[in-house]
Amino acid sequence: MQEFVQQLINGLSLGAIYALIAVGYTMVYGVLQLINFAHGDVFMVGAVLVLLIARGVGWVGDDHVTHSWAAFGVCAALSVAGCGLLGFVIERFAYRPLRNRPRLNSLITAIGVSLLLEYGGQHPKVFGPTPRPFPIDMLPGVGGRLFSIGGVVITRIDGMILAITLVLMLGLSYVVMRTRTGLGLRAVSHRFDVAALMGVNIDRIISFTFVLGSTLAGVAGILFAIKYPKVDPLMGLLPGIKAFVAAVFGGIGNITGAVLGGLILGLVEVLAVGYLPNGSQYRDGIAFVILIAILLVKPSGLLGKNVTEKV
Amino acid sequence: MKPLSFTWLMLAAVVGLAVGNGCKKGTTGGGSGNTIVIGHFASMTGDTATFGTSADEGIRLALDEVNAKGGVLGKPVNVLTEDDRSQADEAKTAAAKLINHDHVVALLGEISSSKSIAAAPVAQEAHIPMVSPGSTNPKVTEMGDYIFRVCFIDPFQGTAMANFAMNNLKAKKLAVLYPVNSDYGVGLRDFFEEAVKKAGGQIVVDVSYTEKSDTDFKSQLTKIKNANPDAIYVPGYYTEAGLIARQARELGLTCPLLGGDGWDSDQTVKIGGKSADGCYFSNHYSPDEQRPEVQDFVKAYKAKYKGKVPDAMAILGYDALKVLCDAIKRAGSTDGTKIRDALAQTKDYPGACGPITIDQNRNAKKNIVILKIQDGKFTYVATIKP
Amino acid sequence: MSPKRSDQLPPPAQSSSPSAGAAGRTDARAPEHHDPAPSRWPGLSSLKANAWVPLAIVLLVPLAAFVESDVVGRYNARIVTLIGYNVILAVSLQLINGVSGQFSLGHVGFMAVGAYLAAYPAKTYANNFADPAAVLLFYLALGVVVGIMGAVLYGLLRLAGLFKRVHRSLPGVALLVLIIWFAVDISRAASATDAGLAVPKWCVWSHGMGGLQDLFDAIQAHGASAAAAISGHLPAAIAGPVCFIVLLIGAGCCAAGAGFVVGLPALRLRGDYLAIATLGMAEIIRISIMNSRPLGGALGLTGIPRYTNLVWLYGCVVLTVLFVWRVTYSARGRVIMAVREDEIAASAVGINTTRQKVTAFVFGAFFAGVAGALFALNEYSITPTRFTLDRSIEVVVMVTLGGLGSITGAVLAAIVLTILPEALRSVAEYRMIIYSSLLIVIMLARPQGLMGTRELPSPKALFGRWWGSRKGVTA
Repeated sequence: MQEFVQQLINGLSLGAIYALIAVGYTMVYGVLQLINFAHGDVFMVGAVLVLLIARGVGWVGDDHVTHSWAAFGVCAALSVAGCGLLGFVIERFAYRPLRNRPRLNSLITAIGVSLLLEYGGQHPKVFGPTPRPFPIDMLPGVGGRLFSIGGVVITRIDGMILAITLVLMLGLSYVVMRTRTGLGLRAVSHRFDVAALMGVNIDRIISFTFVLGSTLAGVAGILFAIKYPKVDPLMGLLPGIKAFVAAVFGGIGNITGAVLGGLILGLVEVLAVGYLPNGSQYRDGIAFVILIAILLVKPSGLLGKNVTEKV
Repeated sequence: MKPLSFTWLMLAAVVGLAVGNGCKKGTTGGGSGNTIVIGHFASMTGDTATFGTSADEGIRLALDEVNAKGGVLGKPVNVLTEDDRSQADEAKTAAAKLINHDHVVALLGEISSSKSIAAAPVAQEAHIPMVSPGSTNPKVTEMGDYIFRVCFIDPFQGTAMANFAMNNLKAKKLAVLYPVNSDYGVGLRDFFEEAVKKAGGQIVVDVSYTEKSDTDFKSQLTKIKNANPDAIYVPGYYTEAGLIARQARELGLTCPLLGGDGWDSDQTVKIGGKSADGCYFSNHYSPDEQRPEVQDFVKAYKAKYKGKVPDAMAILGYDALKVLCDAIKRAGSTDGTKIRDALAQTKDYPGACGPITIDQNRNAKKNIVILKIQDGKFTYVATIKP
Repeated sequence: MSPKRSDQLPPPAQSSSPSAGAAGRTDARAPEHHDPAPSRWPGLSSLKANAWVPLAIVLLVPLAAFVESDVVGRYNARIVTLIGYNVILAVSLQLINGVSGQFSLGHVGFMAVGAYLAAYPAKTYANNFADPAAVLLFYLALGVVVGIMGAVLYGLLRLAGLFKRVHRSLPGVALLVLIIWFAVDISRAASATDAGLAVPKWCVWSHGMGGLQDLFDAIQAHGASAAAAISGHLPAAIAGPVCFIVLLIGAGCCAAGAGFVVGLPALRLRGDYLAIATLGMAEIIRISIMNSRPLGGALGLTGIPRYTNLVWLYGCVVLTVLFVWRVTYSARGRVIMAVREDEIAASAVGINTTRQKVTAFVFGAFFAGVAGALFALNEYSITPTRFTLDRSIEVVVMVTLGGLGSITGAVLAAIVLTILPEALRSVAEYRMIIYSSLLIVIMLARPQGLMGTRELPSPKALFGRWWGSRKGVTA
């Protein structure tokens, strides 16, 4: 029982991260019907930038670390802003020129951007291929346990991640449901061309979506790096794919669905490893099996609306 | 022609590049020219890039020393490094390029066993000797009689760690957490488990993770915690070892973690932080060893690379080039077959990480050292002889 | 449109290409389409018109023999080899992605199936390519075992289908779950016996699977002597080639079978969903191989005998291109393309769309399997890490860059994209950055791909212009 509860907690904290990345995927897919392959790499940039900025300013060196939440906050804010900018640039220069082309073309440029970020990051003058430790020592007291009851452990990092995810999701739903831009966003994702006829500035909305999604990916990257303090230019690859699975699972284009999908995926993965025979060997396979199963039974995902195709 | 002009332009550009590349042939003639050219194919980018770059740094250091002493056979030595992007296919292509395009007299290459195995047939067919600095899987040198290595092999390493755990740490119940997608990790796990069973120990949990992709091991560790083992064997690479240590401590697992030479990087400690304290791993050498060869090497390396502490791949790369140059010297020729024969007769070569003797299976017989992680430092614990 | 007569129509290049630029090139083939004489072999006229293919047969194979002969050096030969694999993969994926319009991201999964199911019998049963009958026996035994398993599953599913209330996708899901369960169970049983752990009583499936394994072994054991006797009757000179061909076809069929099993449920999905589902399937195949003891697990298979050479490889390249060409520009190809252009309209005129999609998928998978077999029998060793997502993406990029729907485009792109990273070797650490930037730039500058949906013009049209004879060019 104690083991089971612990596994549940492990799954939730893993799922929260998937959820944060998945939200970005689902928003971009909602407005553009495009799998933004570079999303996972924006996630990576979020974590890498914090480290680069901290090293650049001199808060983190080979043998010294500034213990200051404020300093870390500055790095994180700059990095998240950088991710937003990156999202804007990617959309403006790689996707927008191809918007009226078949989606496959955008998919290839997305792959190109993703490769560019990965290999660019691996260049020794940028970051280098070696994984480096993330400076969590800048955050005094972030390690350790929040509390433990009867052997069930919840770490402070997990608590922090869950709290931040919750706050961000509430903020996001406010933006999407209560603001004018959010209204535009929903209109564009509902029907692209009609939204334009109704006076929605599509370019602006799409740029906004990319900036917002990339910002969230940046935050997710930083949280991920705090939880698993190792950063390298390829770190976004697998979380990116898993998050996409989560987004599809929850119903792509649906923000609540993405969160739900992320949490469920995290839970299922952890429970599969914990309780299926040889589950740990099939961990990544299990994510895809779930995906295919849900696609077959309910192609629109858990919370997605079933859209019938019109002739 | 208009609509296709772009296509032709692209084609012309690529063909031009390829031809331009091809024309450089001959400027670097293997042994016949004024320099002796040795090829090194390594993962300079991609997911095992650290090994490639470390080994290359070690090789470059050895190269400086060899050339400072006047080179080999009166000629300066040059090492050409080709990147294989951490992919087995590319390793094979890179080896082929070095042999046929650059006409190298010998190959150094690959730390990862699977890439060495992929490239070995090229060297074997061309009768060019290949020396792997750090591939520890037994299958590598079985690929042909031109394939050598300057490190120990996994059966020895796994057995040594099992015996160390059983005898020195008095561990009876052992858990294993191994990377299922790594030839290295699976091999070590098999040899470790075999040795533990032979010595009367017990494997209580045997779970896996996926290397280079998993970052969350809590689920596996929770399972291990429930079985309450005396030690956990994690035959993976440093990239995951630090994270595993950290998450194990978070869950309240206090038993020591044991690892293999894949742990050897300061990243293990930097990523793992305090959690890595009290863990043990087997390695090729320890920078703390007081042997003069080791100390000289560490000093020279730090001087060349801005105070960086060399890891095992660096010292193995260093030794690999030194052994190879020694063999060329003894062969008195740059002929592949003669170098091969000289390499096979290497005996008690004073390598930086211990005397190297090549046995009849073209593996190096070397000592293994056990290191303990203490206060963020690797401290020397024991040496195990083959 | 009536698919039966559609081979008389011009290739879809002209009809479906949205860009006006295509109009300038229609002249290349136009005269041929005015040829009113109905051909006895539908599609032959388009074949004649595009003399690239026969030209390729005449030129490529001797050329391959020349490259193989060590004059040009092993490095160049290696690049030519890589081009060969990539052309087969790209052209066969073109059939799926370009012609039938189903976006598959899992092509390398079928290559993996082909590679492993050629490497394993070649290593275990082929007796250094002297025993083709034993290899055939392996595929037969495999077929029997898989057939029995499939029949039982099918029966179960039919039973489940009797209850009308169940969801129509349930069979697919059940099939998937069962396959995964088998895989998990087998590896569980294997590793448990290895590790000396007790297999839990409820692992009944393992015993059932053990029965199938026994059946397989029994067929193998009883057939071995007969097979050896049959092989003994073959002259030694042809035993090798026959064995190799059996391996290629066998591996291709296994991959095609995998394509069928994967395609049947997955092809109900469309667009990105299909892409991600095929990606998932390929990953599942790779993970299953990685956990399979007989197939070597993460270490892979080593010590595979080598038989592929450039002549064989390029023979297969030409056959693949020829076959895909014939399928694409035939009546069946038109039907498949109709599904690509508008699935709803196609089904409205009575085309079984799922069937057409699966057909294209199975053919594509077959050739991917052949490419895998050629690959495995050339490399001495294969590991699961050679069949990762990156490789699939590489092939998809080739197809898209060449122009979706253009077979010669795929061939060109495969050549360009194989040479490009090698050509950029001199700039070492920048080469992959340049490669990825070029990918973006090319896609932005030429969104329809290098060739669009067109094929290369026929040599007659191309060279006729240069030789001043403008006869066949004006239309």
